[in-house]
This record gives sequence, structure tokens and C-alpha cells, in this order.
Amino acid sequence: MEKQNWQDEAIKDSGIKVPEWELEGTGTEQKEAQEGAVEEMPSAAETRMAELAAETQAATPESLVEKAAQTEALRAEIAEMAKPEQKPADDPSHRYNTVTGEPNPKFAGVNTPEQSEKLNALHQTKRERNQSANTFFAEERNKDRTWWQKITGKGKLSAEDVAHEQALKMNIKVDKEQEMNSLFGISRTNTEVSTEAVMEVNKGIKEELEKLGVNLEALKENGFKFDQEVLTKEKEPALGALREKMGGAITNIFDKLAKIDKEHVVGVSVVVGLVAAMVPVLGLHDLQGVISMLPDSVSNFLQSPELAGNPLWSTITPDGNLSMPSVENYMHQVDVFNETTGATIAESGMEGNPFGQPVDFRDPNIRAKFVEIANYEQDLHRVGSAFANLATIPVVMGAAIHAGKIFGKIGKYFMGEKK
Amino acid sequence: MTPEEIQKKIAQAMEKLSPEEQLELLKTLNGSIEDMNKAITEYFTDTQKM
Repeated sequence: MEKQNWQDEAIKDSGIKVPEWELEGTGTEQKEAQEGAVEEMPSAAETRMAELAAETQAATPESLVEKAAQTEALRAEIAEMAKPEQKPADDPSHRYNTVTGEPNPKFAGVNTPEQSEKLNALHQTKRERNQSANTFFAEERNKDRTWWQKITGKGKLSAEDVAHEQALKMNIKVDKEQEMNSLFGISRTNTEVSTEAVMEVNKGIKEELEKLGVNLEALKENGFKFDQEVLTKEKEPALGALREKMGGAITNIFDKLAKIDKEHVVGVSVVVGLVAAMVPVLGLHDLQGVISMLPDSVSNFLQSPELAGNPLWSTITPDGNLSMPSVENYMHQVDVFNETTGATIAESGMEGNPFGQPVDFRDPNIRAKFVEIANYEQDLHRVGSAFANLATIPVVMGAAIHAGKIFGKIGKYFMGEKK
Repeated sequence: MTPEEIQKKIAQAMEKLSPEEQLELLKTLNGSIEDMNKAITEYFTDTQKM
């Protein structure tokens, strides 16, 4: 009889089929068993082997397929549950049919058109309020930020950012300046001279000339004369100081004129007016001295035919006063000049050299004539009045600076045309 | 030379002076006349002291 241990009996009792080769021992084992081996307890390894065998049995391929099927079914069930609720197009909870767009009759009459309008207005107000609030908060966030921070969105700028910002600012400034220059048709940085600035200076000149006229009248009333014979020794230093200061003042103007094109009519008018103004103050005999103090360019200018033939002489009246230009004034000065100097100024005196030779103010006749034109009868009183009339000069100059039209009129007078 | 030619010549002469130069000239003129008035005023002051 085959000897069986308790394990074999347990296996038999469990009904599990065991391969024959497992039940049959090896030759050695069978021999040992046959030799009456001692009944033994199962080892830990044998127990573990049995467990593994059971797990392996549970993990058969049939079980895995079944498990996968169960998982897939569960997944499908979850997906079905996650789907949004599909309401029919004419769901009564909708105000409008989601397919046709027709209004749901259920909601008919809930809001009148007026109510809808008010509702819309309320919504609009709310939107605007929200937008305003958003803008406000955005501005609050950005108010202390530089524009570079606003552009970049950076809260803190690096040194590189600051450098970029400064460079861009400079570029913008240059671009803006160039743009403005382009608008005004200038290709370089320039200072715009406003009409107001010119008129303001002209106003100052007129006021100062009026004061000068008053002062000269006062000099006359106080017995002021340039004749050295009537001067007291006590007054001589004061007179010398006056001469020096007056000479300095007019030299300043001539220095300025020396930098200007000598053909310019504005310069001519200034020279004519101021030389005439200097005569009663400095005295006729000092006129040559005044001229000798002038820069060479101005002296040459004074001796130029442009000055002698200039129609600005038409502002000096036969009685020595200054007035608005007229052809009568000019022709009178031409006649006097021709008689005194022996020269001939053609009526078209501006064309070419009217004298045939440069005017030399060192020539006593020329100089005397120049003085005579500026102060016709050497009458201090009338020259004083002429000073007051000098105020017309800046008016003429101002007009010329802005339009030059007045000089066109002078030209017409000069050509003998009546007003 | 016609009036128009004279006018044109004068206009050309005007263009030689920039607005800045015109303004500078006027300012100089204004300052110099002001100096003349001061000189005369000082003359009166000096002579009255004598």
C-alpha cells in the first residue's frame, strides 16, 4: 500500500486535481518513503509555495479579461453620468428656443418693453460702473509708475531698463524737435521770433524815443548848447561825460549794424535816424569824430551810395523834421545834396552809384551836406521836434520787418508816383 | 528801375536779415536810446550839483 502523508490526504479532501507526477515521488523519495520515513510537518517554504500557487491560479488569463471588461463598463458608466443634462430645445426653463430663437410663450408678458429697457439701462449702468472702477484701480496702480514700467509691466526697473527709458526719452525729444522744425520749414534748431516779441521791442523803442525828444527839449530850455564858447568850465566835465555816453550808445548800435548786410534798408533807417539824433547832442563839428569812432565796415556803409541814394531820405522834411516818407521830401534832399556837393543824384538814385565815386565823409562838403540833410537848418529846436518824430522810424521798421510793404510804397514815392 | 523792381530789390534785401537778427537789432536800438536818456538825465543831475 502506498504511503501518503497528511498533505496528500488534504489535497484529496479538497478535491483539487494534482498531477500524478507531483503525487509520485522521485525514485529516491519513493525509496525513502518506502523505507518508512518519519511523518514530517510542512516547511515555511512549502507553505509559501502553496500561497503562490493559489495566487497564480487566481491570476489566470480568463480572470484578467473579465477584470478589463468590468473596468471598461465602469468607465462608460462614469462617462455617461458626466454628460451635461440635455434639455430639449423647447425646454420650458429657457426664455428662447435654443434652436429656432423663438421666445418661449411661458415668459410672454413677464417684462414690458419699458421694463426691458430699464433693465438694459441698469445693466449698462452696472457695466459702466465696473469699467470705471477698473480704470480707477488701474490708474491707481500705475500712477506712481514710470511710462517705461507701464509699457513693460515691470514693478521694479533694472539699471538697463532705466537706461533704455532715458535713451527713448532723448530720442523722442529729438524726434519731436525735428518734427517741429520740419513743420516750420527749418533744418536746424532755431528760436522762433514771434511777432509779439518784435512789437514789444518796437513799443519800447517808441517810448524811449519819446523820452529822448522830451530830454532834448529840456536841454534846449536849459540853454544847452554845443558851442564850446558858451560852455562854462564847470559844465565842461558834465558835457564831456554826456558826449562820451552818447557816443558809446550810438557806437553800440553801429557795432550791431556792422554785422548786418549794409544794403539792408532797416540798417539804413537806423543810421539815418540816429545820426540825425546825434547832431544836436554831439554838435555838428563832432559828427566827423563820431564817424571816426565807428567800425570801418560802418564807416564804409555811411559812405556808400546805397545810403546816399536811399529813399529813406524821403522821411526828412525840408524843415528838418522827420515824417512819413514822401517823394517831395526826397526830391528836396536830392536838390540840396546836389547843390552842396556838386554831385548829381539821379531820380533813380538807387540804380548804380549816383555820385560817380564813393562818398568820402572826410570831405568837408560831403560831411556838411550829410549833416545838413540830417538837420536841415541846424536848428536845435526843430531837431528836437524831429527827435519826437523819430518815433515814426520804428513803426516803419516794424512794418518792414513783418511785411516789407511799406518799403514798396517808398519805392513808388521814390519813382515819383503820387499816393 | 520800376517801382516793382525796387520793391523786389528791397524785399530781397529784407530776406538777408534773419528774424533773430532783426529782433537783436531792435533790442540794441532800444537799449542804446535808453542809454542816451540815462546820459542826459545824469547830465542834468551833474549840472544841478554845480
